[in-house]
Amino acid sequence: MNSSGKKTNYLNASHTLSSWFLTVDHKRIAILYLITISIFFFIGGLFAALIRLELLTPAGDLFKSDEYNKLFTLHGIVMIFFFLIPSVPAVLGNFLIPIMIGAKDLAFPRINLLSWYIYVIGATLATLAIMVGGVDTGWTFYTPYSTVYSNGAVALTIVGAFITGFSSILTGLNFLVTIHKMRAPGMTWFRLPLFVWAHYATSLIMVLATPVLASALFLLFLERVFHIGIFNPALGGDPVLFQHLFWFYSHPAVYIMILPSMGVMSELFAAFSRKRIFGYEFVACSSLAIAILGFFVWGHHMFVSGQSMYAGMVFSVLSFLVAIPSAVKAFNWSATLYKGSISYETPMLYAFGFIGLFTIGGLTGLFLSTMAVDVHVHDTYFVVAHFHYIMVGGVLMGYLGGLHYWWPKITGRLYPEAWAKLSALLVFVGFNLTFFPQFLLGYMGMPRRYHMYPEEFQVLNVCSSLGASVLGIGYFLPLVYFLWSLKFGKESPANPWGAKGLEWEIQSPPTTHNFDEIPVVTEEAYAYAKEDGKHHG
Amino acid sequence: MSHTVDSLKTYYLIFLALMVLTAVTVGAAFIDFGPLNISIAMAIAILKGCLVLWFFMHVRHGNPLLKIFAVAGFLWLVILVAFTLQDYVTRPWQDFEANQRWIKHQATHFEARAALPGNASHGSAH
Ligand SMILES: [Cu+2]
Repeated sequence: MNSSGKKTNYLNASHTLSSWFLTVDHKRIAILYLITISIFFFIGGLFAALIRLELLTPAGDLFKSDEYNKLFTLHGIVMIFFFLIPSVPAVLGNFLIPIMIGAKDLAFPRINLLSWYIYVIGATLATLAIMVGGVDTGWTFYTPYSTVYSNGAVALTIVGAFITGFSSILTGLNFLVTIHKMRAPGMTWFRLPLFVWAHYATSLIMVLATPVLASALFLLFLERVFHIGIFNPALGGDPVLFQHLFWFYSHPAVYIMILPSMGVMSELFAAFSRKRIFGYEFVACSSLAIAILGFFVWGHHMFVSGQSMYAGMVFSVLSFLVAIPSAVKAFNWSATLYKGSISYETPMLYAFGFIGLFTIGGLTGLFLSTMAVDVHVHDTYFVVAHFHYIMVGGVLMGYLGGLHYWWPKITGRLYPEAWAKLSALLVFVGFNLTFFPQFLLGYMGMPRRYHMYPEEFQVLNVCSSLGASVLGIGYFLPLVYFLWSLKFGKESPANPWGAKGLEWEIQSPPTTHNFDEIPVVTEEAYAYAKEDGKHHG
Repeated sequence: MSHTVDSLKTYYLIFLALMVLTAVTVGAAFIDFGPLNISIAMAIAILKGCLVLWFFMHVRHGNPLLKIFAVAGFLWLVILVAFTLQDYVTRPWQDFEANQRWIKHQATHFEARAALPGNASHGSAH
């Protein structure tokens, strides 16, 4: 394996099955996550495709109402719990955090492997339970429908989601301890790449919020299976209590999804404009601000639930506040571009896409946190469009951008740039064509979660379904050319982008222990020299 | 982290304290304190939790960072309870009839405008 003068790397160090399934190497575990997460992404995507196919016409011609209910539930649960939540942290975070801080592995390598097994067991159990038993509660499991009336395999699905939560908690714990304790000499907090800062903030949410979801699901389980009155009014419970507990996790969970993608963005904007991120300290602290503020706003999901309007006012005002640190990030990335030496490789296209989509998603979030407007658009396609702009437009752009950016490091191969640019374009166009019409549909009053609709909504629905097909091609292309590049891609040098950061100073792919000797860090992240930009492009 | 070991005596004492507090909880359940029932039970439970954290889980020998994280866990529980309670506590404050009156009052403004000459068509449409 030394033909090209490279040392044995983590991929060809050994080839046995057990060397993969019992590995404690954070990079191999990242690959395991990459494969499993991709499978769940395409399962979730398949159900999205069926939903869009049904909505092509106003009549319910493909599915019956209850089948459609199961479809969107499956789409939601798989995409949120088994793809979006683990996506960036479990794949890119796992691979990069130890390397970026100059460590040989995470603090608890075995716990890292355990978290993958927990994820696989929980996710498989829940997905099978929904596919075989059918669950029609939506991904939110609202009570008392989920505890009393719904007929499907709700209990088993909840057990699956409950189990998966522990994978998230363990990953968060691992990252926190690693970032606190394993930084190389000289790697001070304000020399950390912003990717690491974002994951630190994310890990805090994972550790502090996920147990509350676990408790909420456990209580739901108790009520459904043992008829202990907690949420069901007939048994003396309060259904709104479930919403409080559920959203205490599930609003911050949006930041579990988006913060790591924001971390990717910071890396991309620095690397492709050859500049230090403008206002580095502010961007770093805004991650923490988003993580902490994000815990005080959950009631904005409950404006029409019977929650006290005074509580609604407090939640509304606090929700507006989250816009501030989010805007700090978006503005500082834009300011980073100023006088930068910008190049337009694929990851940067995703970064530009992120800014556009995240801005639309974020601003429509302000519409929704305005109580009076929310009453009008609550449970309509406006909400669906909004959270897809954040969660698909934001998170997936970050995930794909990051995957392209670090693909040469992860695999040691270059992907075909022209195809990648085409797919980035397809994703951006397809995404907007899919979800922008849904803002209009929602504003005109089309409710979510119905498979039939009045005829005047058809044109916009056809646009949306058309966009979904373009989007589907955009997502399918990377799968093809990434796999192709493994065999036919050009071998990547250590630093194909000419970027700064410890991960670019070691060979591609890295050796099993990343560094032969623990590096001593002497400069801040993004120490791009002034004249550096002139060499490029 | 230093490797201080507590004597067995400490553990037995804490165990005894936990048992006594359990007995107090059970005893308190037989006396009706009215609205304080829950508060008293919760206060005893929190005290017990703190004893477990501080002694059994060795937080008292931990470094400041560890203590910060332990306190953060509690703080987040406070956020959960406090912000949930702001809903339950303020629900009775709502005066839906006053809201209705306010809406009706605002509506008269529109009716008056509709009655103006030239706006007749709008008026009849509603
Ligand atoms: Cu929210």
